[in-house]
Amino acid sequence: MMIDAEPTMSDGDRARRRTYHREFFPGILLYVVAVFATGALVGDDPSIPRRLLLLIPLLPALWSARAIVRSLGRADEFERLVQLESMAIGFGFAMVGAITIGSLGMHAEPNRFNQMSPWIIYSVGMVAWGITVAIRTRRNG
Amino acid sequence: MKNRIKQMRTELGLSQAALADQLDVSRQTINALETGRYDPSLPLAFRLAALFSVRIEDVFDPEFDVADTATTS
Repeated sequence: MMIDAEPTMSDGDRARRRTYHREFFPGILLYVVAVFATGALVGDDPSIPRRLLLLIPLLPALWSARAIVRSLGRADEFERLVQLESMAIGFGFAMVGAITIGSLGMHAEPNRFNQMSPWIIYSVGMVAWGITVAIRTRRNG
Repeated sequence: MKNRIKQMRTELGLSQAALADQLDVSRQTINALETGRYDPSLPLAFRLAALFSVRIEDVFDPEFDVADTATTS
């Protein structure tokens, strides 16, 4: 039986991954902290200025989104193709999820579906993106 | 498109990772090229040929006959 001695990553791959992690994860960490902090700060206060504080977590989330865009800029042509195809598939799944939930929400328990829908759609899109990247990565060794 | 990247790489004694670093691409990209799952852009194809010090047509072997395509079009 032959043993594949090829390392799974080159030095350049490792460097690009380190840069991506360094740019992406602080944003996610700050997002989680900001969600809990603003939630505790705003509480049940219905005033608009206080409610606007709930948008503060968007800033670190946008920072992480920027890290994804920057990593695409650093990726080579094949990696970029894999990522963009996977994102397109994730987008397609999210759209199908949105249509499904939207259709159900119009007639069956609108309040329940309308509250749930953003996070369900987000999750469906992200999971589809992640699974597609994993399959393509595994297929390409 | 068929290619001789794996053969030329091993002749130079390079691993996939080493070749990837020299071309500034990922190791997965090299693997996808070698297994024929991905055809590179022209700039990458020229960089590969330059690295192996050969002409681009010595690395890549089109599976169709270009002359036949030209006469039938």
